Amino acid sequence: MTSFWRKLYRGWQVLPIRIRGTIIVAIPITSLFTVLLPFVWLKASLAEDEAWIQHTQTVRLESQRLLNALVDAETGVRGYGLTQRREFLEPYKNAQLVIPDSLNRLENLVQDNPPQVQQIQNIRGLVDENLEIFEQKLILQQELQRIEGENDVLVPAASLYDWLEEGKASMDAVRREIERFAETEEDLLVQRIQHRDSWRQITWIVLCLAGAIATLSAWLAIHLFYQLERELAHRELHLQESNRRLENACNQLQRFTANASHELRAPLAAVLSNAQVGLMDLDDFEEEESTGEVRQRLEKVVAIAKQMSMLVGDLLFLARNEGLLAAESLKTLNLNQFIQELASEWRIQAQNQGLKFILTLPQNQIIINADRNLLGQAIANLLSNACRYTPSGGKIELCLISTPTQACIQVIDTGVGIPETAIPHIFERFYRVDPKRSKASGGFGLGLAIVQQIVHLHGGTIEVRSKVKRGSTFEIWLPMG
Amino acid sequence: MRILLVEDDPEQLEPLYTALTRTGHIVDTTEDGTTAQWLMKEKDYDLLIFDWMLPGEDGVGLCRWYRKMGKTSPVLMLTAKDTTQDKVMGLDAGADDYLVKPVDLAELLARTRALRRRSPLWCGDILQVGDMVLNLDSMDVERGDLRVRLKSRDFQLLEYMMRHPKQVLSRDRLEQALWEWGQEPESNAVASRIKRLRQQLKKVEAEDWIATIYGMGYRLEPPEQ
Repeated sequence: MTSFWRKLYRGWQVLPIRIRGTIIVAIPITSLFTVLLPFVWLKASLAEDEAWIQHTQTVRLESQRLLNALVDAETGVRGYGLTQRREFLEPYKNAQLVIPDSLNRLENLVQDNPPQVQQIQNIRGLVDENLEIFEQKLILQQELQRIEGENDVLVPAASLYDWLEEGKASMDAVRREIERFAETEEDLLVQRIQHRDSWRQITWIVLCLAGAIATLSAWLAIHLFYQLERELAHRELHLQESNRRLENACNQLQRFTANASHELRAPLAAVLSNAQVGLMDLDDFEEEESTGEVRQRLEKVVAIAKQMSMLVGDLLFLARNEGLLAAESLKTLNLNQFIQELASEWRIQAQNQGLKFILTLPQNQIIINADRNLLGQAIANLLSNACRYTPSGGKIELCLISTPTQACIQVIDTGVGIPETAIPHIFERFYRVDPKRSKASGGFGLGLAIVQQIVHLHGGTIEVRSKVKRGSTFEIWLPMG
Repeated sequence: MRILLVEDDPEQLEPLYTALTRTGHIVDTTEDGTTAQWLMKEKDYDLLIFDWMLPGEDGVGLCRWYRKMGKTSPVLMLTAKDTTQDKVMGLDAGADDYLVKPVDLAELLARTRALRRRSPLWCGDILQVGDMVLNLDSMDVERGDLRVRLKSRDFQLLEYMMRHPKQVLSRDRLEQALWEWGQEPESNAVASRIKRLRQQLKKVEAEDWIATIYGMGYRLEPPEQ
């Protein structure tokens, strides 16, 4: 059991926060509906029960009224028979009006209960019979009066007794039937009251249960919410912590690059200057033959130290310039003029290597925001690569073109080109298409990485197209304005 | 030229010192900023070369301090700090040139010559007394068709004497001018260097140009014909 809860809890914790929040909100709402629906249903059935009880009461009252009316009629008729006074006929007349009406109402009221309808029909038959007897009795009395013509003629007691006895049986029958009818209704009433009471009890229980469920769900929702809140707070704390750690790491890295600059360059400086002083020492020796080899070795040391120095510079450059340039280091730069200046420097170098150099500038002046030195280095790296990898007799083009939103600097050569498989990697640090050739040409495989980083620093992109033995095209796209 | 070289790493200091000395300069060296300040106050230099990170006062601080004293000799920063901000900071502190380590000695020496040329006391790459010419870059002495290349010690002595021709230079004065700070010359050191220089000058037939004035010192003068 505990393992189930634990599993459930673990499942809960891996849910995304949005879903958990929705569930937390849904818990009280769902429990509200689940409690409300049966409660409403119970209330409705209670009201129905009440209505039925009311209905049964009405039936009871009505049957009482019927019985009363019948008794009134009988009494009236009897009274009239005994006294011959007209005022005794008053209740009888009233009863005559009440009885059919009462019967109709009763019949209507018990439409839902076929046996009772049947009973009413019986009662109606008996009542009609009784009323007929009453009527006959009265007519008989009046006839007697007319025949005798005198008011004060005394009716013989025996005949009067007979007259009175007549109809008693049927009257009793009616009374019995009505009583039976009333009893049935009484039973129904008892049943219905019992039914209502039991429903009331159930309602109470349901109400208590609902209260318990509501409390429980509220508690659950609050508990889960608090837990979620704690978790979020914990997460924030964690984020702050990792943020702080990242900042530290960043600072450390900055300190490292600053120190690395010193620590890497100091021994290189010592190596380079010692080797060069060694070469100066050799100058003092007269005979060249004995020192020739030592000179070569020292010259190699000098060359390698210089290369290492360049490598250190490149690596430090890459380490320092991450992200985007700050706005204040970007200055307005007229690209046409800038490219023109670069071209005049590189034209000579290209021509010295037996390469044709073509410069294409647009008519309109292209102005961008850039760091002049960095951008110059990027273009110089591309041009240097172009010169390095284009055999004598080839051609190097430097083009500047623009679209409404971007400026594009193209460096196109007719050199050895880059194999298709190598193109995705050429901007990686220390990547070399052909390790042998690159080493011979003095590169470390950082030139293009630096170009890419500089272009990214300016928020631009660099694209390359190349075909082996046909040449390469590098395009630097920079945003304008 | 008298140069103050401040560099805290002896491994780097020694070759720089050697290279500068070989090219005929008199170089005072120190490894900390505080001593450098004392030297800057006590002596006059034609060029100062500072590393940035130093014990005591750092290179930029030295540079500011030196300029505050009102001295105008060129200052060259030689440091591993290579960012543009560093360079701007160094140059704004009063440095005349900024080189990032590791530096090619050929470049350092060329910059040294360039800074020397910018000095208000500059009067050309050669010194001439009578018909004797001393080339400051190559350390050659020429007289007519004769020519000899001097070693740096001899060159330093001859340069000093040719800058003060026809004056009697006392032994003390020569010691002050030619010996580096911290090096104690032996009692007969000046005499032996004069002797060596005379031997070198013999190759241009000028051994009699340096006269010994007994009890006073030495004088460089073209002999009267």
